[in-house]
Amino acid sequence: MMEKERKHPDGEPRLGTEPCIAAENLSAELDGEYHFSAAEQDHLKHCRHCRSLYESYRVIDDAVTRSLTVKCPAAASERIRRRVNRQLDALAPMNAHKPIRFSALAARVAAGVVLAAMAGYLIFVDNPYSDELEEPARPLPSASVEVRPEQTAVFPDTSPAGVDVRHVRPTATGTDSVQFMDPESAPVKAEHVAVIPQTVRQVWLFDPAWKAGRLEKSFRSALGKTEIPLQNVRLTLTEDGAYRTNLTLTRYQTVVLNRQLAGLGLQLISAVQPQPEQKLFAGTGRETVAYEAVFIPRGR
Amino acid sequence: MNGETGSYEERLIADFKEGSRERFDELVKIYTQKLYRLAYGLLGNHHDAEEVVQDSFVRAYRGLDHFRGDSSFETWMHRITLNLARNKFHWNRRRGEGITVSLSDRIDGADESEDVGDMELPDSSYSPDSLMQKVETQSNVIRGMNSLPEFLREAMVLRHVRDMSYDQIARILNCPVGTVKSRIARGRELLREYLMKMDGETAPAVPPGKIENTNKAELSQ
Repeated sequence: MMEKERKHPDGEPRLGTEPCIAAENLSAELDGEYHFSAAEQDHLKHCRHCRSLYESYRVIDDAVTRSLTVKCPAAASERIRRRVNRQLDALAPMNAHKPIRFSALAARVAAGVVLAAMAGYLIFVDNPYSDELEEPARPLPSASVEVRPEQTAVFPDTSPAGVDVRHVRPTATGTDSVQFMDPESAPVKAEHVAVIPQTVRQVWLFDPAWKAGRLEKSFRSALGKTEIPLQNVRLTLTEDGAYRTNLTLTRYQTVVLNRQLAGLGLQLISAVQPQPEQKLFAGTGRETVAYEAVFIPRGR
Repeated sequence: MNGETGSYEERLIADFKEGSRERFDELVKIYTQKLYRLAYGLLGNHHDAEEVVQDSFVRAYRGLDHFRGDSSFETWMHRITLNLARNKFHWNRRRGEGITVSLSDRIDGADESEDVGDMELPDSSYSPDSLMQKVETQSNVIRGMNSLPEFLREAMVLRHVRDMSYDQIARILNCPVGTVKSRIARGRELLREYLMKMDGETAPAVPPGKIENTNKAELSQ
């Protein structure tokens, strides 16, 4: 075959008939997944471009491995093991691989009993309007309120002033001293570490003298400080003048929202944690909880 | 996974299915280090890596009863971690949290107990200045990796951080070996171009046809 001059990618003319080595093969050779033929080895010796590419890939390999390869620290490893075990302890009764197995019918009956118990608890014990709550941590409203949906307000993305409240950072006073920790390693007694349950239902009192829209404005402001997107937040106004909202929040956001609401003059009357003055919490702040808030005018 | 390790793990899994929680704890011990490396490689920070590994074990525990053994346990665990890290990466990106590199992070896999001076460094001119340069380079590399399309980044991490063969990577990513080969080559090339630009140089053009057999539809994702 007649040799002809070929223009090389780096501009250097070269005599030869062998094409440059495919980048895929250069790359695979570095990984030990491809072996150069004798012709390719010869080409690599003489082709400055292929050699340069091959070397640059080697440098990149070294940089990636060096930058991203870490050893799991012993403390982190132990933390992972401990937390996994704790979560598995919580899961254990629900998991089916345990030796005790229910028949489908028994399982359904058990589920029915549990649901009935939960419904009873919600109706007769946890209901903030129930007269049967014997020892409230905070004063209850003077009369029961029947909450019926009447009208729903959906918050716009921006405040009336045009400020996108989703990006307002929490203030120092709103979030300082909030600490989530492993209760076992807490520097104080375990009972001082608050546990936020999976479902948080809180009743707040607001000043009945507030003008129309003041509660919505305050709530939006508190959510903005908590960095919760407002698109899907709904605050439902009932015919009795109470408001209700349901949110999915992280535990940390629940704490910040509590503090913000308290700071805006609302009074929490539920005993469920978190409470605005609490600082230490068990677990991690990133776990989500189902949060429900009911706002009722004081004196109802 | 070699045969000996495989059979040991199979025994652990069988015992676990019989109701032995202690056996699962042993699996946690065996896999923490491997999965942590993978998660850190994909996410670039210790906190997220720790969280993802923890969630991976909980998810594996819940699903182990249904683990049929079509793939090895190691492949299965890596898939779980990969999926969770992928979710975490997207979550961070949506929240605008970039990958951060802390000066307090050890490099080259140093343990907490190790002194920086004991680390094997690639050059002999070790000094605080050069350590700063390394951290700077590390952040550049992480940014470069972060800029790659997800499917290229995952293949690169499995190869460079977990030191897996193309065959193992193909099983984890559930794609042909040829696809892994082209993904890694493409990842290297894009990263090279990125780093060259960061240094203010222009990356030499790759001749047309240099990257062959590349699934163009895949690369256009």
